[in-house]
Amino acid sequence: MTRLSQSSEIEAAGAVESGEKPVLEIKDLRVNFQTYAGVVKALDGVMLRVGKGEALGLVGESGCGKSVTAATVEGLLPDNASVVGGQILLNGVDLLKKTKKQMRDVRVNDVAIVFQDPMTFLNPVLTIGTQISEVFDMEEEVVDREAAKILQEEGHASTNETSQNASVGAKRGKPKRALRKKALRRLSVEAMTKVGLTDPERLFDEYPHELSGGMRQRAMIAMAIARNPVVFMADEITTALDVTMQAQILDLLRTLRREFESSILIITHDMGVVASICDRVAVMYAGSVVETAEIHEIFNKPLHPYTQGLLKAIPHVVKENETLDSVPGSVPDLIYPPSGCRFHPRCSYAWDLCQQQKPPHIETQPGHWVECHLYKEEKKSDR
Amino acid sequence: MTDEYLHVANLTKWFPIRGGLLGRVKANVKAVNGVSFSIRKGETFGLVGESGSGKSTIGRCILRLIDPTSGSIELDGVDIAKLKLKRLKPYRRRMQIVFQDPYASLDPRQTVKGALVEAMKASGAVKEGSMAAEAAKELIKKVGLNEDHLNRFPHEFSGGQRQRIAVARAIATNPELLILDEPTSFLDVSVQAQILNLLKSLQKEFNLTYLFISHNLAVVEHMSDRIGVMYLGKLMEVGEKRTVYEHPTHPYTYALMNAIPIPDPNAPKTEALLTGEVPSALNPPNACVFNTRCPYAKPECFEKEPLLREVKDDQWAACHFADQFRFETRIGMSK
Amino acid sequence: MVAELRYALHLLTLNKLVLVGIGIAVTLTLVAMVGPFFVPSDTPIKLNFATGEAAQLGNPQISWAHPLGVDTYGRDMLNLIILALGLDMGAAGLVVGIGLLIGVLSGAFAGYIGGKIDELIMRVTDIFLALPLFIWAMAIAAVLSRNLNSLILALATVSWPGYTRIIRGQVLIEKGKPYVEGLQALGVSRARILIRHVIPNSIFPLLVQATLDIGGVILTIAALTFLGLALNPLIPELGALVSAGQTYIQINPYLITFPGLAIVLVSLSFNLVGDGLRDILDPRLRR
Repeated sequence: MTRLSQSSEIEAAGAVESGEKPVLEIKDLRVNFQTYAGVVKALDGVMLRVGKGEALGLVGESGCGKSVTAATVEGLLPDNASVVGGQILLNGVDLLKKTKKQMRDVRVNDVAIVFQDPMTFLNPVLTIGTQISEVFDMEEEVVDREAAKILQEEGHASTNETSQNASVGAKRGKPKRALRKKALRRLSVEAMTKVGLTDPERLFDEYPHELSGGMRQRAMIAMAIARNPVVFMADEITTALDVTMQAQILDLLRTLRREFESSILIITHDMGVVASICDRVAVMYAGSVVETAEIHEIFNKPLHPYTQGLLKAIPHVVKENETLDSVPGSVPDLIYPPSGCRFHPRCSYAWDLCQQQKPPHIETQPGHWVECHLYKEEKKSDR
Repeated sequence: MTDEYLHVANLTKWFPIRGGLLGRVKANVKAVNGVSFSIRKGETFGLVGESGSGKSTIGRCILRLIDPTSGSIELDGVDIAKLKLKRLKPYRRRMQIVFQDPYASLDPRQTVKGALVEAMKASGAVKEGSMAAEAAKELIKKVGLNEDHLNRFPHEFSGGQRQRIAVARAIATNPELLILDEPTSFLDVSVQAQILNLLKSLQKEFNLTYLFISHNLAVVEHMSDRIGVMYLGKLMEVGEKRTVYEHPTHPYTYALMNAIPIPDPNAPKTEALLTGEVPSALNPPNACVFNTRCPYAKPECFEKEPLLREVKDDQWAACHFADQFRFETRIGMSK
Repeated sequence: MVAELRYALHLLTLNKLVLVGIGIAVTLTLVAMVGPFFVPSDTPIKLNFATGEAAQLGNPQISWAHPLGVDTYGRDMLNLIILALGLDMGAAGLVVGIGLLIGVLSGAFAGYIGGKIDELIMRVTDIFLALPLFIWAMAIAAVLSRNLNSLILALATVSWPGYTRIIRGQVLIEKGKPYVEGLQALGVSRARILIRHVIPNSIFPLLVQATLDIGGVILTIAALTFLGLALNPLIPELGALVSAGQTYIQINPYLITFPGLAIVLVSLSFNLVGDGLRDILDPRLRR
């Protein structure tokens, strides 16, 4: 049974295939962690491309490095982590070369992230409304515009006066602050409505603990998209939710995609979620992206042995399978990782080369990248 | 029914919330509110539901880890819900449990061997010490580990291995029924597959009956023969697996099945048929507990509680209009 | 198991100060245990008024015979301190030991059984927690008699409530863990679960607190004897020595310096050991 993808999805996939410049490009990223037991080589040359407006799924099991990758892009690595190589290009600018202060601006304006547990990221002593307002508060223009709108609606004298009054930061004190608060409130309520929070006026004054898990997640999404970021990263945001709530959040993300221009990076371990919302998928294993492809390609023609094994291990609600094919063995120790291709000890196709050399990141077909010695780069002459 | 192994009737468990100076009961969390179903010998009964549905509580009640507020749990004609702890002991060894959290389900200060031997001795499965040691060796091999793992401590193992140890301890008593409470929720997909395969092969080998409790609908579908769907402390639907997943008769089941993300880009995308949140178990809705969110609710649903009744051949639903619905889920359509 | 110990040792070595503390504490404990055998047994009563008076008048009398000088009664200071260390540390050990015993029994029982018994035990604990130490010690001294035993009794009775609370908290945490439920499902008796499984897993924070407390208890004993509350002034006890020498602080500061230094070293070193143990326990330091 076939079903045509939405046109926007085809467009996005085509954009990357045709060689259009990606919005976010991670080149050969290497990150290490200092621990008491040794050096954890968490990221071993991550290669990733996110096109404009596309939804890329980043999947992998625990320890593969997907969250570390997101944290590195966001500039949120802990003290014992160090970036030992590679580049993170956001619209061509290398984020790794930025200072801490510059990264703060990036976090606010360009790359937003939402995490699995909103409770740890929402301030429990501030109302939801205050926290959402804080995000808008950083953009003078937007607030001023809204303030001007309010003044117009309330019927103030002349347009000149309104624009003067609306320029917040001017001398007058109390009335300015009240106006600003009102503007922020309206912007926040509007954002809350967009993310599907019912009765936003009332919710504005409530505290995080008074909201349910799904609502908190929506509030976090509101804060993330408020600034219309270039890239929006969602790190396991539906993992802790019930399946019906997860469906609502996925619906929301699909709606938001149509409205906003942000590219989305969906980090998850659930292939079902990926199939529901992503255009392309990148599969990670032990610190590298082992396969990247358009969504139908990945499910129908997975190339990397790990991807193949992973897909066979998923209990498929539609297809009946008596036993699940599991990938033998377990995830490697990243302090003493296997030499060459980190997957070789568990791979049924491995041979000597796999132990000696890490496979290069090659494009076997247009839009389909693999890191595996089984495959060769598609030569230009062969096309 | 002749092949009925366990019969639960009107099981209720309320958790009192005390307050005030004298600790009076202010309210009750109605976790399980009059649930009835049976499990047949040798089958896997999957109990699904979202958080707060009460499914884990049922598992604990059956094992008498929690005492039910009312209702009966019949095993071989004996109501074990009412037995005193002393008389419960022989029934205890016939039912065991595997928990969700592989990291907290083993005593961190006890070796694997110690845990297994203690299990065997406590349940009376094995009397003598040396026999227990031998039996432990056999057990550990059955779950896919080897002998030298016996002398190690839990923290030396990975999550998947610890679950194997937990399974070994559960079958150490030679049980007939195994309650699996979210056994793979904390495990990676590939490890999960290994554990599920292990559970299936053990079931065949020892003719075990499983009560598989999980919120992961894909896993439950893979493992179970029959399904029970819970919502806010009540059973909404019970039936054979394929029918429940493809042609359910209860609106909640329908919404649930349509929300499962299918790992196939050609399949219909997930649909959020339900809006809003699950009401609090402190104050569940009157009459039909689903009436606040049901898209098909009629006045009757707010006045009279629908009891679980047989709608079709061995398919039961707690809905006034169950026989009128002709649902076909996305899963059914994808076949 | 070995990895855990190695890790624990590694954590300890991270903090040099803690290592110093452990060194001093171990040394002092050895001195306290073994030292008294090398000290002439009549030291406490072998008074020498002439030497003592000389010390009181300003002559510290430090020589090879008396490396740390003499006290106000003319007895050798070094010997006295060795004996006093034994007495003080022994008393502190007893206080903490008795406190631990009562604390563990009551707290674990309360936490595990729960319900009305828990309420009852905790209310009793609250009562004992409310006792003001000094007044309580004075009352006991007045009622029983001014000697070491009543001092230990007084201190033990106010120290156990703290341990009760700690272990009750730990037991409540362990009780909620699935392995306890698993043991119940197996049919293991509640007593066995409590004694063989829950208590061993709950006891570590208690040991940390006890180690920290030893330092505190020694200070308290010294304070009480300094105030003259507890003991016969002739008994070699660090606080008593300080008390005897304080009048002469300007004339012969050595009378109080060495006993005072001993008090500081003991309590400080045990505090450091306790800190080190707590660092091992702290999950945030675990990497």
